[in-house]
Amino acid sequence: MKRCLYGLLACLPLLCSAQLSINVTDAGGQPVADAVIYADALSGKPPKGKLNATIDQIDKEFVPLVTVVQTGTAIRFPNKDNIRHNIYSFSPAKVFDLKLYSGTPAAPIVFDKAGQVVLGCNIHDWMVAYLLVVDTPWFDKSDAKGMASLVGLPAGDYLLRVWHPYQSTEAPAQKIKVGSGAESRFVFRLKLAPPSTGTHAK
Amino acid sequence: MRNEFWQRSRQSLTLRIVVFFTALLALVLSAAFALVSAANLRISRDTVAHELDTGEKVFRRLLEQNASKLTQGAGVLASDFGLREAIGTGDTATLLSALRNHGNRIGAQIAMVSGLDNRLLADTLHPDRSGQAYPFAPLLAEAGQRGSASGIEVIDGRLYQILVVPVRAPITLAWITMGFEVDDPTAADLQALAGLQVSFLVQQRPGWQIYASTLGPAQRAALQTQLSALRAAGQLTLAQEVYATRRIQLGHSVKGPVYALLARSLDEAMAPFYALQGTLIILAGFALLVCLLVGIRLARRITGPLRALALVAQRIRAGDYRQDIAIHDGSEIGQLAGSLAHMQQAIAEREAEISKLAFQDSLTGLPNRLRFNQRLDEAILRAEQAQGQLSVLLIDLDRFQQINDTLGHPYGDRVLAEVGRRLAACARAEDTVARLSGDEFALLLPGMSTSAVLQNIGRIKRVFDQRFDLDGRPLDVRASIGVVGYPEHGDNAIELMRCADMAMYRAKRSGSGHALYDTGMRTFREEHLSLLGDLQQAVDNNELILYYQPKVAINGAGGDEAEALVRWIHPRKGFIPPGEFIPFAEQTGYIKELTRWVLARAIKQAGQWLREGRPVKVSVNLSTRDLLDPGLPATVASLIDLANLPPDYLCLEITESGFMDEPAKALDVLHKLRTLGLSLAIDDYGTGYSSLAYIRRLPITELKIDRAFVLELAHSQGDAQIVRSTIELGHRLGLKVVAEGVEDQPVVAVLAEMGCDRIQGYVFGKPMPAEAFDQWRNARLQLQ
Ligand SMILES: [Cu+2]
Repeated sequence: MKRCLYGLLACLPLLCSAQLSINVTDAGGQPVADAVIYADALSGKPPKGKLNATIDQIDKEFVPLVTVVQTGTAIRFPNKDNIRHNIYSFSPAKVFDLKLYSGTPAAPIVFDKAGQVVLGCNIHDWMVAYLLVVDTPWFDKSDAKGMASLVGLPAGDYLLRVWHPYQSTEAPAQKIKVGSGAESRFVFRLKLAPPSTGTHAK
Repeated sequence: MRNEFWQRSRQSLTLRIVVFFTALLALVLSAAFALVSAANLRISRDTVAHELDTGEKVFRRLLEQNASKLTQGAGVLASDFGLREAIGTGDTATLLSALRNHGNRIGAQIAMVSGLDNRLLADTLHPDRSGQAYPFAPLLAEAGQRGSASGIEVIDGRLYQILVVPVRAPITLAWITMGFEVDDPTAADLQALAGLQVSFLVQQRPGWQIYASTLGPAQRAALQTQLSALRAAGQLTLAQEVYATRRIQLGHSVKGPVYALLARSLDEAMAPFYALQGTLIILAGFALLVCLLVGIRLARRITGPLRALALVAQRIRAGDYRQDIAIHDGSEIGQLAGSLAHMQQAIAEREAEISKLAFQDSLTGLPNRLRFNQRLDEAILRAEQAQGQLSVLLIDLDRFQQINDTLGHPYGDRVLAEVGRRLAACARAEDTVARLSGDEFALLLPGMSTSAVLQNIGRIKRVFDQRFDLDGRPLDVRASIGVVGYPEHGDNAIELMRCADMAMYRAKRSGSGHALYDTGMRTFREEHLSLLGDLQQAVDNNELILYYQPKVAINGAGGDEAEALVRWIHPRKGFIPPGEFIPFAEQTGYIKELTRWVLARAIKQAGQWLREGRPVKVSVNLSTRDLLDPGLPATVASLIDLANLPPDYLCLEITESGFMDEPAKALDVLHKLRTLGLSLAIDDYGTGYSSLAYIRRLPITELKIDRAFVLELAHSQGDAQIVRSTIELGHRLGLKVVAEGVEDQPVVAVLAEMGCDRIQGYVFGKPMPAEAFDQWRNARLQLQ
């Protein structure tokens, strides 16, 4: 995925007029990984981005833990383990129950409603994956250094938002202007509350 | 009776020993019992405390395990897909039914689901409460922090253990609350495991409330009243049963703090201890009993021989010296028994010695008076039984005093020994010869009548016929013998001996050598015996009066001399002649007092006459016994001194017989009286055997010729001859001669012619009281 993004960034330097660099830290200033950064255009209908994604089940864990997709994205859930998984979601954005067998590719599920979806496995209680469905193609996930970047945003006004599955409160969105000479570096500071009971043993 | 027994028992050695040892053992046992009891009590209390500690730990652990188990159960339930789906999809109806179903599965009475917003999604107890606030918010907060929570709550008047677990899908979606009622069966389960009575209490308004308990209804009711005073640890008395208790706070419900009360019945805990105590008491009682029995046995082994010895000693005291003292052991008691045996023997020997001394006359070797009286008693008894008879001879040596005085006591003793020997020699084997006293011997002749004795009296008399030839000094010894016989003279020893005495006395007086007692002696005697008391009274009551009979001088006016004669005017019997009571007084010894009284009176009267200027020389009669009284001269001296009477005015008259028994003694008294300057007269001269030659040796001044010679003087030539020669001889010896019993003038004339100095008799005057004597004298004086 990253490689893919890098590729995109490499081949569209002229098309993309702006690149935003975002740093996400916690309340203590430590870099926060897996924070989703996305920008909602305040005007105009956002273009459709890449509308497919994959969330693997490897060694009885969802990979990756956090996924962000644009509305209407079809996500495949390939089972890489040689055991059964039963993926479900009771999240209002998408309720489903998918029985998966090893090596059996199932039909991808289309997430056509914005919102957060928590994925679980009915067989392995500790398996959890967080999915954020957003209405914009401009999004990224912070890396281990807490760095994320948005590219290809046309000049204009945006609401820059951050989301993290462990956030205890929603960090306020930042209204930004994209254009030449405009600020391109942003910092989000998150209040996190890692789930105390969410530490599932394998 | 009981008291006495108890008093005797209390002093008994057995009892003392037994009581001492039993008391000692009882003391030791009591001390041991007290120690063991105290230790047991402490141990029991410690045990109970320990049990409570352990019980509390177990109880807490049980609660934790229970909560943990229930939490796990609830957790499993919470992860049920259907339930999660129902929650996730907000299907309340399905949710409720799923909750009920799953709740039942793990036995929860209550199941609730609440959202992350603390609002109820479903409540099986109150289905209508969906959307309302969750009632136990603090638990949710705790569960939010720790992943799950447990607590204890009061819901609708019941106590529940509440568990809160999250519902994850897979992140926490909602909370499930499960409630398990804490009721009596729950408490019973806990009791079974913790071994304690368990009660669940809530300190709520308005008061404490018991929600569950293993206690019975009565104890529960009792507990309800004492809840407010409950402490963390303490004791409770519930329906007569005592419990040690612990109070543990379990949590804080919305109603108030929730406690568990753990109780251990002390009575139950102490039961083994009480059983032990009971055993101890039984053991102690048994030990005491054994001690008592052994003690009694042991004590008897000691006191038994002692008692036997005490009995032996008692018998020795009673005079039994032939006991076999058969305790032959080496102990002190055996030694004591040996000593007692020796003592018994020694006492027996000494008593034999003493009785020999007591019953034997040491001089003659004959039985003494004591032994004789015993023999006499025995003989009387035998005679009485055999309808037989016996005789007693009382033998008194004549004038033995003379022998003693002239030849000395050692010689006299030899005479007595010889008499004894001779008497014993002529006695039969069955007879008893005894020396009663001094010169008095007695012969007891069993089976012999007095007539037989009298026929054979010569044999006894011959004992004395034979001359006593001691140390070449020949001596004639004579004896007077009184003879009495049983049963004719008396039926007892005392009576017989008295009669024998009288008979002997009669024999001595008559000079016949022997006399048989006759009952006349007795009546005479008895009559006078009754007078003894009267006579004593007479002296005290002044019933005695002195009469005075003039002793008129030939050719004299008279009234210058008189004989004082005692007269007794008895208040009942009237006048008692002196012949009736004087001899009697002589026999009883009362004559001494009588003489003294007469002397005192007569001397006083003489003194009075002297002071009045008409002096009268008064004569007073002395008896034989008076003459033997060595104190008489001093008495007379003091009396005349007291009356201030010159001795010339007192004359003492004695009888011839007065000298017969102990002439030496009598002579001594006479000399002393004469030395005082008194006149001494021989009364009744001529009746006795005394010759004038003998009279010569006496310190007398006067002879009184007995009335027997005087009465017939005028008619009897013989008597006249005797009187004449007596007067002549008397004058020749320098004695005054007085004739008594002169009744008529011719005799007076004869006597005057014979040269008699004074005349006493009716011819001049009868004995008369002092006043009458005064009148008589006055009359005589006027006549001249
Ligand atoms: Cu799985």
